[in-house]
Amino acid sequence: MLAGTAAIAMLLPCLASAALGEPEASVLADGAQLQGSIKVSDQASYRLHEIQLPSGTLVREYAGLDGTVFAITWHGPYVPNLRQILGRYFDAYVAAAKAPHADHHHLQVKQSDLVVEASGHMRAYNGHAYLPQAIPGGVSVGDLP
Amino acid sequence: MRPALLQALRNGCMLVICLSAISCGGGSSLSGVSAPVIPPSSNVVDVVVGGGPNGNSVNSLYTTVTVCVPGSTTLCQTIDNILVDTGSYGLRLLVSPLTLSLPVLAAADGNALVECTIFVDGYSWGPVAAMDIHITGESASSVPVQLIGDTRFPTVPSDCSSTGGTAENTVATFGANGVLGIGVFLQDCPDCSASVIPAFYYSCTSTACTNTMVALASQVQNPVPFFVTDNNGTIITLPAVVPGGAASVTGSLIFGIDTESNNQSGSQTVLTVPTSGANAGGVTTIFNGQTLSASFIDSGSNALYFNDSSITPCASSQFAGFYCPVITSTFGATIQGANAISVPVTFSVGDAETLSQSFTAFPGLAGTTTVAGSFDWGLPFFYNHRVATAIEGFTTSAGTGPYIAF
Repeated sequence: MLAGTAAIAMLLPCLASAALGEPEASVLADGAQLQGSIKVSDQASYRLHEIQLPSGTLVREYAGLDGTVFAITWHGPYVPNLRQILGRYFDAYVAAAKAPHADHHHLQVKQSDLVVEASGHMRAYNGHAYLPQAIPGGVSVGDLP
Repeated sequence: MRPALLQALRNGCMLVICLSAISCGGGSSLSGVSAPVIPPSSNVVDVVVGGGPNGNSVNSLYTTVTVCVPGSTTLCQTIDNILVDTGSYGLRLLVSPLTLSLPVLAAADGNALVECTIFVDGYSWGPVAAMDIHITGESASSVPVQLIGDTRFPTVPSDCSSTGGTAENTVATFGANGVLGIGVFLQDCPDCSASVIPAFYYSCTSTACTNTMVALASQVQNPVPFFVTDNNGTIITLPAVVPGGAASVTGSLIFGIDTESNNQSGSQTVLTVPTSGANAGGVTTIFNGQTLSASFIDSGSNALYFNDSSITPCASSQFAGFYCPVITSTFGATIQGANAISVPVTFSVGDAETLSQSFTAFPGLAGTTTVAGSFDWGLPFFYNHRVATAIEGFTTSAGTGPYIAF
């Protein structure tokens, strides 16, 4: 029993590590954490992992040929757990987003190493987060589905 | 400069609020703009573009509501600076201006029903309470309303805050005393009545909260269908505003569509909206040859947000993310409904850096977004327009909701 607990505790840090900026394998952790089903497809300059969440929201994670996730998008009725999928970039995003305003339907955080943009309204949210310095040549973020 | 702006600059970010630097609220009423006169009527309430409770809002539309303990005509309170938002569903009040004692609704297990409301830029946390709502001559009985920032439930669950952005649980961080969500839908989470949706509704004791399902009737919901009459939708009408902006703007929120002489559909074009899917409640925009299928018309957004790399972006970091063309330029686009009906529209984009700091209404305020397929028709779209929002399942002379017409 104790041994089992220890094994789970050791696994947790791995499972909790999220995808943006992490190796592709972390997508599996995101899928497990978000209880989503994952579909993988190879494109010319990246590999696309689609995580369909049970709530209806679709999370897409894009990994470059070096195996690092460089962009994530989300579309659907609910905002996904961004702490999970932004991983070590989540705190920087939250810190940058802190400013009081009355417009609750638009967000843009642009830093040299991290961009987060979101748009939408209740029951329909869209957003993306990416690492500008990690985008493969020839890929335009605006064209990522 | 304001602390919020300084904070934003320190973080090297750009945010909508960076615009707070150009607006100090208030201003002279002489330069205010008023809508064409609509006779006072029991279904019309003033809506005002102004600086809001913090004095720094831009293109933010506010109104006043009166709420009462259910069944009471004396235990009531009138609250101003309530955002008028066609992009959400239900009334949400910040508790700090609220002096009424309102009982919290029970979750299915008997504990308190508490909600995590996720906006695009952050989240608000607080319990659900029933109250009567009075706006102008319209009354709604025992409507579930969210009380944001209620100290009886001080701990935000981690999966709620994990949706990101800012905790918006105070008037200072919310930018309003509340929000009146009067979009096309009835409830804020119909899926929550059939399954447990993460980071939405919770059953809470004083010390712990767990995600829960909620019956539709207990969900925070659009108060308009609760009105006895004039309950099938709303019309927002705002006057034209000169390109340089205005210190404030006064218009009307009219309840009902084709229920009174002042809310006739006339020749308005009906654009139906999807009831589900990735763009529920939204429209499609055709702009610059692109078909943008994640577009929406939203009184709660303070600018038009879209992507056009040919428009000069602002150079100064405090206006990063906004457009700053040398001369105000006019553009054309087409907005299309789910019914394949489309309407051509024009809009202007001005230089955000030259806007007067004492003004709060800017028709040419536009910003960038590169979110795929997105065109956010925020409040500037509503100037010089009469925008009708028909609620799902309700019929007007022009059609059946959910639809938007203008």
